Amino acid sequence: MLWTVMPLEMVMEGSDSFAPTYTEISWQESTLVVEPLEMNTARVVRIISTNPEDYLNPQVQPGSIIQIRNNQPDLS
Amino acid sequence: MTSNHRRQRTPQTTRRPRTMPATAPDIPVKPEANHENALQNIEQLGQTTVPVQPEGNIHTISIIGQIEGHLTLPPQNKTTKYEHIIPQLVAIEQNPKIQGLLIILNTVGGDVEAGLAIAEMIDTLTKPTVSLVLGGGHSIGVPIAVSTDYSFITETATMTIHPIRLSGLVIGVPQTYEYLDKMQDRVIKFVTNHSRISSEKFRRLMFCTDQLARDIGTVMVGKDAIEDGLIDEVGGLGAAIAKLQSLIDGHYPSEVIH
Repeated sequence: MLWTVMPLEMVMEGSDSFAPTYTEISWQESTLVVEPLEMNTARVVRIISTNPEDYLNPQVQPGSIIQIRNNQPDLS
Repeated sequence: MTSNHRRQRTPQTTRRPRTMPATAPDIPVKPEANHENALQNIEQLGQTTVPVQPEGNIHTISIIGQIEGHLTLPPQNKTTKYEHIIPQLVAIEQNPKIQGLLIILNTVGGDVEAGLAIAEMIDTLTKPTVSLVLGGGHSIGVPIAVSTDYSFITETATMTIHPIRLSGLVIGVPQTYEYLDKMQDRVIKFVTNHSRISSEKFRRLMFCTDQLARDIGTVMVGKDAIEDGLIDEVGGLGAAIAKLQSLIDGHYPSEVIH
């Protein structure tokens, strides 16, 4: 249920053509949901972890671009 | 196949020199990297980086755009996602280095459940919290703005209070109205419990008919929100940080150093 001052048609514009592809990769003891980009990079979409400190880790903040090697984040 | 193979190799070969210092201790590498970074900034943006600061004791969360709920919104929306904010609030509560939280709002509203979830989390955080409404804190932004220990609004910021509406297929039965009223009551109860505004006053503002051209409701600009008892004070960033610092000093009395 949306409660917003924006008209609903403006909020929902393009919702039928919005189809991003996400993959899950493991990182340390948790999982990252990433959107693969070109050249072994990916954009972090979400962190799935039970360690709250992971959510404050600047390296894997949602939106940050990370290097990926062998389906593992390469954060060196 | 071969082109694919090559494409994967290229970044590895270019990155090899960069990964080499990783075997050496981290610390000597850092100043050089910082220096390089600063040079790059001067070249590209004509500005230097902000000098390295001592680690602060406050964290800040900005609530921007639409508050996204159970439905992923199309990409032209700027959204605040509750699945990001909620674990961060858990980490903030649990991290001993963080002593206070500043919430900055510039939101047009969004999902009722997600907004109330964030507001409840901020409310039950044991550390001092201060909110600052910058451009706008509309609709579901209102409960989030009042959920903190102390709230600020800038002089030009606006807050819109209007009724919750149902979208999609609506069945014209009394139950529909009752359901909507129940949803509205959740929000009103939260807002009135966390600010000086009364339930009657909030409802009156919500159903006001002479303020908005396309809707019913009320727009409050800056100090209107203080007069109506929704927000505590008119102020900007400096005032918000100073208030947060004084709340922290009261909350952690043994650690105050003057």
